[in-house]
Order: sequence, then structure tokens, then C-alpha cells
Amino acid sequence: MERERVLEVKDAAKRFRNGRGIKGVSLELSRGDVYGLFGPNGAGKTTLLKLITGLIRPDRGTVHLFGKPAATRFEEAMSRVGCVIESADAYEFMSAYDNLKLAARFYPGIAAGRIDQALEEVGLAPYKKEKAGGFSLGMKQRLALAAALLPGPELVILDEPTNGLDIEGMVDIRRTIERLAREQGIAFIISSHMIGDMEKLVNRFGILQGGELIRQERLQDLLPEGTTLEQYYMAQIQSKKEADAYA
Amino acid sequence: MLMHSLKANWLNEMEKLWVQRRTKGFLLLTLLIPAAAAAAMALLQRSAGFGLELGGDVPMLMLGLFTTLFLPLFLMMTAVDLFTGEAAARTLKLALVRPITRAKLFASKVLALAAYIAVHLAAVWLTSVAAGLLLNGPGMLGRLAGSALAYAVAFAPMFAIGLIAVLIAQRFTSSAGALGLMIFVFAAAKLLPYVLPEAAVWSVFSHTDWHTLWVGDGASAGKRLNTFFILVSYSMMAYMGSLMMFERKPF
Repeated sequence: MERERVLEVKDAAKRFRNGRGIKGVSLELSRGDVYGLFGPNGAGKTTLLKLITGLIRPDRGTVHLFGKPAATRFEEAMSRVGCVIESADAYEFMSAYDNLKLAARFYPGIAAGRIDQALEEVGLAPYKKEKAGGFSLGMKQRLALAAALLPGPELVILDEPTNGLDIEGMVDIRRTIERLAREQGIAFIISSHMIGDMEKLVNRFGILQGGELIRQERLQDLLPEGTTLEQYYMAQIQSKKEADAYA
Repeated sequence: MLMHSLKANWLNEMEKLWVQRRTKGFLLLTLLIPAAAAAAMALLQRSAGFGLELGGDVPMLMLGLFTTLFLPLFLMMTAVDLFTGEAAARTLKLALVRPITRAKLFASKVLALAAYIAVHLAAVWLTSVAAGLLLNGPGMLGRLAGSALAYAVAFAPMFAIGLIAVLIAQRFTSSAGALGLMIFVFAAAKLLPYVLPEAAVWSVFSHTDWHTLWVGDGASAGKRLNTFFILVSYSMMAYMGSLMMFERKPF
């Protein structure tokens, strides 16, 4: 049985004044996919994620979420999406609980106990009354993840979700993602530089370089015996650099 | 369902405004200034030693003071907080990635600003009426309806100024820069009648005292209507201009 298509990006392009951006990127995600988005700094990973979530408008191309065009049916399209983009920000003058209360208002039918449950899931329950301004980067990252997971999304978009986390935090987040993808069929698209860590998590990945999606593969089909994702990634980046140098 | 996201973010904006110390400080100031003015008037009445009856004028005096100076300043700072401040703190995107369109997000912030104006006007009116009653006793009661009408119509120019502040806030990435330009524009507009009286007629900032047209004999219906159209035109232009910028802005 074909899995539901949760995300479809077609020929998306965005060019900034500094010349950077993304060029003609297309990708598709189905339920249960955990998609790793890799690439060097400035490759366009955050731009692509911002474009999917409507934070920037594309110069060209389309984004569909759960079959709904994000450009014209944004509310419906985003109602099943949770995300943390670019940095784990929060209203610093409000408590962790109140931050989530604000997020919950957008989703009718979220039970009062769900906020406590979300805080529990990311290990922030003991700090729920503390103001987010006093949180460490790792705690803010956990709070942002709780806000993303709060409405029970079917697609979660995470930009560098393990930034600022300690080892225990990284393992916790990896386990949470694995569990949600396996048990609930939630799809994830995760950009990260922690390629070794991501290898244990993703089933598909794409490599962005210079704004182009140079490779997009299914992990199990690709890696030859004894090759790590990191080695594969480095080889791809190097070969693109050489191709660009000859062009 | 269609309006759920608008209401959700309006409540969020109100809550965010309320929990900030600055908002409570401004509201406290709004309550204290009429009380302090009434106390000063009471002293003046006592020292003059004759039948001065200033109490009945407290609400109108306070409305003049607040619409000319305090409320526009409070509005500028609040508009900066709602837009430039949130963009700089990167918290605007917390709402932008929720199921709400940019047009509704923008509208909910403007509605929060409108509620802010209404709350401040109501607070000044209630405190000044209470102060007037203490100073002037029952003599104040006859002027209650007139002062309530003046406060209600004062909403229109304050809303127009709030929207102009919102428009300016869209152009800036730094709160200090936005607030600086707003204060400069406001001060220049207030000086305009002394330099170019003909041009000042068309400036929205020249009509912050619109409420005076509605008090006592006031002014003709034609003059009220004329000013009303000026205020509505400025409000519409500022709203549409700001919305266009907000819709296109990358975050």
C-alpha cells in the first residue's frame, strides 16, 4: 500500500541578494520517512526549510503539504506540521508552560494535560514554571521540540535539533524521533551537521551543495558494505567541487 | 474555524503584552497621572481660596494630555514591540510557522494594538472621572456623557497614529531605529502647523484633538466628517502598506 505523501517540493528556487539560495530543488516525503538534509554551511539547508514552512517565499516552484498548496492554503497545510527552524527561540519573559500554552491556542481540541505531557516528553517538566530566558541553549532546544510536537503533528521539520544539547540530550532526541516515526508514522525532515549521529536515524537523505540537491537517496540502497554515511558524504562533496572546478 | 487562528493569536498577543513589565508600568502611569493632576488641582483650589471649579475639567484636560503626548508615545513603543522587537528577538517566526496566514497574524497584532488603545482610554477616563467627582462632587455628573463621548471618539486618531507606527516598524530590523524615526516623525508633524499651517491640515497628527469637535457645541457635522475621512484614509493607507510589507518580508 502506498504511504501518504506528506511533503512535495517541486522545482523550488530562491536567490538572495548575496547570490546564495537554492536552485530548482525537488523532494518528496511520505509518512514514516526520516529524511536527513546534509550540506556544508551556506549550502541552503535552512533556506529550503524556511521555504517549506512559509518563512520565505520562493522565486519559483511549489510546496505542497499533505496535498495542500502552502502558497494558497497555508493554514490547512500547516495544521499537521510542527517545526523548529534556524534556532530554538522562545518568549523569554514567559515560563516554559506559558510558551506552550501560546502554541496550543492555534490548535482546537488540545487537552490541558497535553502541555504537561509534552514537557514531560522532553524532560522539562521540573522546570515548567521557570522563565525561558533563564534556560540554557539545550533546554531551549528541548522546549522548542516540545512546542513542535505539542499538536501531535504528522510531519516534523527540525533544523539542527541537537545544537547545544549534551550527549544525553542528543540520545534522548534521537530516541524520541525513532519512536515517533516507528510507532506513529510521523515523518521527519532534519537538517544536521552531526552526520554520524544521523546515520542511525534516517532512512533517506539528501545532500545540498551550492543551493543544489546534488544527491537524494534511500540509505539502505546506497551505502556499500563498510562505508559510512560520513565517507559517502565527503566523497560526494569532493566530487561536486571538482566538477564545478572543471566547469 | 476560519476565525479561530485570528482569535488565538489575538489572545496570544494580549497575553504577551500583559506579562511585560513595561505594559504594566504604562498602565500604572495612566492611572497615576490623572490622580496626581487632580491632587494638584485640589491644592490650587484650596490655595486660591475662591470658588474655582476645576474638577469637572479633569477628564477633558487628561484626554488632551494623553492624546497629545503619552498615548502616542506608548503606542509607538508597543508597535515596535509587536513587530520590530519580535522580529529582532526571532520570536515572530514562532507564530509564523503555526497554522495562521500572515494576513491574519498581522490583523491580530493590529487588533491587540486597538485593544491596548481602548484599555488606556478607559483607564484614563475612569480615573479622571473619579478624580473629578472627588474634586467637584455632583457637579461632575452632568458632564459624564459628554466626556465619555469624547473619549470614545478619541480612539480614531490614536488608532491612525498606531497604524502609522506599525507602518514605520515594518521598515526596521532594530527597535531603537524604528522608535527613533517614529519619535522624529511625530515631533516634526507636531511642529508642522507652526511652519506650514496649510499642509498641517492634511496631517493626521494635527487631528489628535479630534475629540474637541464633539464636546459642547463643538463643530459642524461637515467638519467632523471631513476629519473623520482624513483619519480613515490614513488608517487604511497605513494598514494596507504595512500588510504588504509584512506579507513579503522574509523571516
